[in-house]
Amino acid sequence: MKGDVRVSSGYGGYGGYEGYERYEKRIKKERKILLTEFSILALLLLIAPFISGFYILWLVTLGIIYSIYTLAWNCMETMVGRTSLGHAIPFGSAGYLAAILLLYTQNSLLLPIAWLFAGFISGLLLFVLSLSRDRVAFVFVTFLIGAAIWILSPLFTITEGGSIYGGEEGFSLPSVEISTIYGIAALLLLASFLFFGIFRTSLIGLKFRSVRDDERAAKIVGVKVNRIKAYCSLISAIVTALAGGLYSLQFSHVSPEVFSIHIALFPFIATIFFRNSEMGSIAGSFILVFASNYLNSIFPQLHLLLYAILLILSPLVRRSGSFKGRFSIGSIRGGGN
Amino acid sequence: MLKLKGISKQFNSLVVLKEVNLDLRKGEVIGLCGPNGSGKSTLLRIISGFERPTCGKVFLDDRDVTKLAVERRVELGLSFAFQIPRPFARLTVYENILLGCMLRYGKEEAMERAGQLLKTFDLESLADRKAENLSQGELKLLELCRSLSTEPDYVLLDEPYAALDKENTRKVRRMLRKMKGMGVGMLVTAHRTKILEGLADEIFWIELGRIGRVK
Repeated sequence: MKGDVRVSSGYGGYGGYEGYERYEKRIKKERKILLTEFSILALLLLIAPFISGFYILWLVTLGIIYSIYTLAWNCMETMVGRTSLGHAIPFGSAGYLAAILLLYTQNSLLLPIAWLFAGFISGLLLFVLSLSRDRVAFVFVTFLIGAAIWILSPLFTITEGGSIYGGEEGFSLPSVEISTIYGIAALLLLASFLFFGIFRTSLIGLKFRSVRDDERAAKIVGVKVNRIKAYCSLISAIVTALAGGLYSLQFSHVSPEVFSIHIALFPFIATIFFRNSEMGSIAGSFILVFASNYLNSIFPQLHLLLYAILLILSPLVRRSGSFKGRFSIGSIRGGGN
Repeated sequence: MLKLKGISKQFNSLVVLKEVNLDLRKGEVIGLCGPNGSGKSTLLRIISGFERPTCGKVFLDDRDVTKLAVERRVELGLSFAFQIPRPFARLTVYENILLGCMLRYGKEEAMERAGQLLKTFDLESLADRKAENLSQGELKLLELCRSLSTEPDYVLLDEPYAALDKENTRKVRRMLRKMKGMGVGMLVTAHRTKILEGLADEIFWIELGRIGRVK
């Protein structure tokens, strides 16, 4: 019996039904698929540095960072049904906060603390915004706040030691070797992959998904909806902030661009086709990073055309459910959910 | 006992409920009938916690729950079945029931209980189907079954017979009888008193916010 809830009285056993074994089998199967995907991902991440030149490794690192970001963003959409267009706030503020802290303390060991703090504060903001049951309003409000920060961030300057920092140029961060960033990002991606995958297939995850489907109905089965939203907002924002911190570190620089609409829309676009699995989020992110890079090499900012096309297609694809299925090893084998 | 004391509800100048008093004991079925807009659903929403009364109090086993959140009332033994079913559309029927069972039991037992509940109400064949793929009648049965998943002492049923064909009406009636047999106190709303005959121990008529005994 759990907590201080009422002790039930009139409900004896209903007979020896064993049908739940089917459910357990399904969960075990999903976990098996998850572990297979995890192993493949780990293997790919392990061999990538040995077969890639500097530039490809740099691009792969960027793909990994965006994948972590997309996984964290997707958690909010697939677990509590909140489509955030304001995730550039934790993503960008992590870099900004780290750079400011570094400017004053010169202590790079504080970087992860700055990232976590930025994630925590952004998570609180997302949670407060998610308290309203209006999901469309959530999309617009997160977008507007994100856009406002993007527009206002060039006005943010700091004067230290007679020099002005910030503004359009942003802040500098220490230069770190790409192999180091790759290693940290790869480990974070593997941890995020496993965490979100196990979470999705767990009974706790089931409670989260009930909030996604219907908040009122979730309350009726005793789910504490606001607590679930708080956990999800914080987890999502903190992981996003870790990704944002690594992103700024990869460029050794952070500028107002980290709050741009392009960053805000990235996970939404990356998950247009396959959003119901962790592997789908990662595949979408890598495809988008490499396609954007290729298009930009043809003509500067040409990737925005790709974004625009995908955005126009998104209502069609998301609503029709043409690609509703999971993109996973399991679905390729025909065993997906 | 579920007790309503002087419940009134007013939306701006519109008075929906006036001084409603009602007692529901465990194992008892009370029918609440009335035309559209008479305040039936508002009363159920107030009891369940989705709406606050303008004045009056709701007691659950002598405890004042008027200001408690929906989830807390559910923990204390109250449940609700919506008039228009609100399933967790992308979850399976089994998962819909399992969620409620998780309120009172640990993993293993909750899983077993969910299966048993589906068997009791002959919904086993639907267990692995996603709720979004069910027919209206099946959704209604799921809604009723889910309302029992938290093992409540009192269930509020908002028009369980609404928008159902003959066959499904029969199934719902059978299900409600089973629920009554389990000792659950039920407050059931309907448009007509006739449909509740044979099930309800007492029937009340509600109109223009006032409530009176019919049977």
